[in-house]
Amino acid sequence: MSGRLTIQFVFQGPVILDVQIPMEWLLYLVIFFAGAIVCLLAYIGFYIIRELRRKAKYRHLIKIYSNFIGDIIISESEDDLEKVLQQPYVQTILRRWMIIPMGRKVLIEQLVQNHKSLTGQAGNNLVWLYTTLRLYEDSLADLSSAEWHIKAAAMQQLAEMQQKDSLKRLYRETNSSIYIVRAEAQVAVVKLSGFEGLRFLNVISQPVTQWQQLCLLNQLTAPNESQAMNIYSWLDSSNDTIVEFALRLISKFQLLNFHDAVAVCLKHPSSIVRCQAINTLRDVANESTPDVLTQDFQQMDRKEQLRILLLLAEFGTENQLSFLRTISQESTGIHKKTAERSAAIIIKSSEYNSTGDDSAGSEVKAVIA
Amino acid sequence: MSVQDVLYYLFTGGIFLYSIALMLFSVFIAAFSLAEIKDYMHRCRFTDYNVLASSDHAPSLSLIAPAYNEGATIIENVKSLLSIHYPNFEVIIVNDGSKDDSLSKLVTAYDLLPAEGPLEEHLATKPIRGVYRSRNPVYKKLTVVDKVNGGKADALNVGINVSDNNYIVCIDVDCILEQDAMLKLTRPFLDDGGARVIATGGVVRIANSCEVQDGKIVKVNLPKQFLPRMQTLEYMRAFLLGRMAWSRLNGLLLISGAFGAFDREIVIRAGGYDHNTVGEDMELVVRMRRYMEEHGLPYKIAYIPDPLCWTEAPASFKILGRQRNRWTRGTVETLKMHKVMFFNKKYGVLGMLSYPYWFFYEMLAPIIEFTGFIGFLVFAALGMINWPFFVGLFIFIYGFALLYSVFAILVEVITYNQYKKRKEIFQLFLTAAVEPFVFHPFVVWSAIRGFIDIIRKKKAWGEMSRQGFGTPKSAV
Repeated sequence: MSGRLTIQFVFQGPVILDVQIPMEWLLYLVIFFAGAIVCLLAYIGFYIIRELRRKAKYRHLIKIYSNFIGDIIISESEDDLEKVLQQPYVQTILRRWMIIPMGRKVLIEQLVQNHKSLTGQAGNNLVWLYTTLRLYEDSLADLSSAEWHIKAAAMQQLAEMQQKDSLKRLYRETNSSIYIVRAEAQVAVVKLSGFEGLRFLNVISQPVTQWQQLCLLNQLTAPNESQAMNIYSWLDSSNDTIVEFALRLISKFQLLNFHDAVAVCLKHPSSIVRCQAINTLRDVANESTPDVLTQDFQQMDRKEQLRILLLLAEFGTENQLSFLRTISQESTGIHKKTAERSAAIIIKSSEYNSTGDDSAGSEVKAVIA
Repeated sequence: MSVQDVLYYLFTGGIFLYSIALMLFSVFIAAFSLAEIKDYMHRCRFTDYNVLASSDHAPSLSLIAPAYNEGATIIENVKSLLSIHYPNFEVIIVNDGSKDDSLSKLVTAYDLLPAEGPLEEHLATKPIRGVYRSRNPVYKKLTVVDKVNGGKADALNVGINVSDNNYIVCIDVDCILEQDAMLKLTRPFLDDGGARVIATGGVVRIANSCEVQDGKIVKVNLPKQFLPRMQTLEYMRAFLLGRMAWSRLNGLLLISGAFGAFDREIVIRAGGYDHNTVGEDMELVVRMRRYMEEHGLPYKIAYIPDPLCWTEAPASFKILGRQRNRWTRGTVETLKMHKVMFFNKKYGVLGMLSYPYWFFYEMLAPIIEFTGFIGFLVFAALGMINWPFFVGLFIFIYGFALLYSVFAILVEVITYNQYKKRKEIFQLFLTAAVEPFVFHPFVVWSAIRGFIDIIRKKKAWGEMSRQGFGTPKSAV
């Protein structure tokens, strides 16, 4: 083929666009596309075969490790553990698979996975194996990786396998600018040191997302009195997400003595914090809660006001009836209806308390539910 | 230079520049989507959905499914929705004035009784005839709303009024959801580090020829029929490449009406679904984004590449033509409603990139392709075609289209690999090779008919009959 395609834009004399494409260029591009298609197809084929082989190898490793890990789990003493290591089939595994990265990687994966569902001696045995085979060195090397996902995976491994020596390095990452790294580091330190691990909340500048809050709450057990005192400083944090998390801690562990501190959060500038404070008050409610909820009602936004009106149906007493009547008279729509409904529930509930009429009580409970 | 020459050069030059720009955009989309999918898959390794599944703090969801004359399958479809794995959700079925026995079937099957209606009408809708809830605690998550017929947008707005949860998930009642679909769809809402996530969308996959059992996909097969198979490839390109790339740029303009989750508060503030367009899904997303931009609120729209939702694709040219006609009308109507954003710096990525892209490469593409084809016929008749060059250019364009499709197949294979048989991958490649000659021209023609209908001011949705998913173990 020869020749060239000429595209010209001419406007009253001067040429404003002149594109000339030699035929050869087009030919080269077509050859390039054809080559690229062939390469992609070849890669697809190669990838499928490679994946099949990788999966087969992976399955094989899982199979041989399952016996090994099984023997480790049922061992009752360190002598038993050492004996397992001396067994011929284990020696073969160690000689053959512990010298290649995939072999070590899959074993770490299996140990971590099994450890998640085991506690006590069985769990400790897995930690012993992880330490004895110096698999933590792989995790620590990965912790220095520039790839965020490798780094985060290493944190999971170190935390799950109880490597407290790595705490210092993990703490350093709790304020990382990379979200997943930061999130995994925070979960790891809490996993390794419990409620004490939350001290990173005193220093971090990054937000603790709601997902992260759920993951942290999932790891925590109830704090003792001195640990709980830290929550006061978190409630004063300039980072709104830390205040929100502190409120969730109070909710989860029903820390009743924080009631007044939570009430202060109803005046917080962040709507998310105020909403969480309302929810938390429900979990730590006392006789002063209805008054606290109605005190700053007018300063709240519509969503918060609605939440308060709903809560009054649960905690309100006859003292709140005049408040609800005022709201009912001054509002329209959902606020009016909710205020009326809450007032009705309070009235029915107080009738039930004074007359002991069980039918009224059931009705009230049904309405609340 | 004669007038004829000027017209010739303007025409060929214009189409040439348009094509080059489109190709560059495609390259950029391919690169961005690959980066985004890679990141997403790495992120997934660190997500334990059990945390969400077992948490009291999981965000509350309302699944809203409008139903119109779905009596034949409604009971099974609702059962499938109620069995979804999520700790805190309700299912709202909006019977949009069906003429069949949908409502009576639901009332009988789920032991429904009249209940209290919505406390506040946030969005104006056609009247509600009744709200029903089950007295059987097993179905306590179910609410059925019966209303006067008003179309899909109106039905969804009724669902939004009835719901009092933080997030709404709008789905087509006949879609099949993966068990963990809600967990995955909700997760991005909890990652609101600074920017509020106002919507998340999931990939919609084609279920034709898949084996369905008890409302679940038990075996994925490549569709055996010609048109569904073409659409499978098309969806791969659109969802795995296009939307993932736009998601990385936070420039998504569309979340499929078949499956998407939204922040209810923002939906209400933005005014809910618009009744005046047949592209209500795209229009809502654009309006929500516009609302956030105009109020200076930082926001994000997330996209999940996991196959979460399966739907039946049109298998006949007639139904497919109606669907594409409607999609074109929806796009044109939406872009027209929000024309103020066109190259408007005030709207950031939305105004400077997303909107112009949709305008030039989604809305105008069929017109330009069609005009190009007519121009080609005219120039050929006038003997103005440089035939060797035409053949060269044709192979060049075809090669690029094929390369882009093969890249989409590659991304599918290295990510979710739903079609595991080697034969299916080969069939997908053949589909890619044939598509530009058969399927694509038909889609362009359907879009042109959509433009003609806009000129005629036609507003109808067009009937979308489906074959339905098979009974246990049967292949569709």
